[in-house]
Amino acid sequence: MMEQVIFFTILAGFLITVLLSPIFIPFLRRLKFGQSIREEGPKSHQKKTGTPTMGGIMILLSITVTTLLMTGKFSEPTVKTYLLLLVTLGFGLLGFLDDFIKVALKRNLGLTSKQKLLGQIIISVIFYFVFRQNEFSTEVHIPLTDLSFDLGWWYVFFIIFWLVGFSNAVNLTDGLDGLVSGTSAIAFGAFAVLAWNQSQFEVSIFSVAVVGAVLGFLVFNAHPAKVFMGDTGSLALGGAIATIAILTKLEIILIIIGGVFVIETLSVILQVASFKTTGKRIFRMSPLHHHYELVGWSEWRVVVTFWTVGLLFAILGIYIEVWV
Amino acid sequence: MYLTYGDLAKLFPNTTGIKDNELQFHTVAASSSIVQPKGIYLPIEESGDLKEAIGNGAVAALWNEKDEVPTYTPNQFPVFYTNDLTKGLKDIMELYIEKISKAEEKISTTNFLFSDEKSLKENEATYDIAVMAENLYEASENAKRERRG
Repeated sequence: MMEQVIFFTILAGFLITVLLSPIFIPFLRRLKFGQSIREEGPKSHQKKTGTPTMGGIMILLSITVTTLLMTGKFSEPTVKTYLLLLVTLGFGLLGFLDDFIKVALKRNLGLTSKQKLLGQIIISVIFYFVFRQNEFSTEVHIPLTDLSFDLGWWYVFFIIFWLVGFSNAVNLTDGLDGLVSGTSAIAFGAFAVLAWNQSQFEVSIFSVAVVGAVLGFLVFNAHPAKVFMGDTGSLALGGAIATIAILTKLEIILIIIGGVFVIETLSVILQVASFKTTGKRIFRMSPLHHHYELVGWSEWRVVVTFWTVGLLFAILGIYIEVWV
Repeated sequence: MYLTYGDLAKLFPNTTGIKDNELQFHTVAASSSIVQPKGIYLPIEESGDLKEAIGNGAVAALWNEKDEVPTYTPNQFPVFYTNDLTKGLKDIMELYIEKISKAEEKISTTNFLFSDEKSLKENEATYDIAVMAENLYEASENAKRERRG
């Protein structure tokens, strides 16, 4: 029974995104360009900027509908279901505001980094209060050891750091066609397995709903992309994966399963630190995927390599948690 | 006496990316295809392949606020915004000419790079830029000669 629910959840997530795309992509394109393409500026530039963004809206719609529909098939949605949707939709809304200001109002500045951070902190704090009200554990377990640390109310800072950190990490990774869609599908798939292993079926259903939604999106986002997910999608996916890790008490395992996102973020931190301290760059461009492009790899080769690395990290994460 | 982020932030207060007033620009380039170590890139001579410019050494860019910054632009990458790139370049050059005229140290100067200087002179809108670029080049060469002499 449960296996069927999982299968139909992936299928529903996939189909909703795929069926929404032919309606949404032309709509997003119109939103991006208004009534006509701007007349000033060289033609080649217009071509470069021709792909509509904010495709994350389709992913969010698909995740929400699929999760509520399929969780209801199995049991009633629990507080974990609503926490997952709260963070995903909350971070998605922040990303949407940023995208909308940039795209529809044609302003490059969008939300300021401080405004985005404030929004992320507010959502994280709301999450913490609901989390504590339901007496969920504030312990953090260190994988491969017997060590656990009960952070008590300090856990709020941990939640803020994890949600803000991973949402921005996924956001940084979102720079090549299909890169985040593919790596997310793998990472959420891994968490679906681990949540299932803990009998947290509502978390597992949410995770596979995300897998279905991003795989459906990948059909249109793979190179050459017909649509980008924008901050709407990337911030939401980053917030969602951090929330799953917190609810399944696999906070540290997230560093392994989300290894691609972590490495991409580290490449930016190292690049900036190196440039500030030595005046030299470590990579030709950061985040890391751009470095490989500039050394001559094709976009497709970089993306497939990163997917493969993501898959290896996912297998390693499952192995450590389930078998070691 | 290089051009700095702080100098440009006075001219172009709208920015995204890292804010570092001490960041020095060794070059100002109007084309992405020119090698531009520690440069600020202005897409004046073509549509603006920012990724190529970064590959060639650009560490910041001046961008027309009406044009979308490429989606691949790193979040931390400093971008200044203007509503007129040609005027923006003129303003940068005027500011820099004034800066080095007051400076005692004139050896380490920011180089202004153009892939086709001849066409700058032939275009009315960019003629002033060509003249200022020549003046800056001469000032830099004079400073080097003085040092050797």
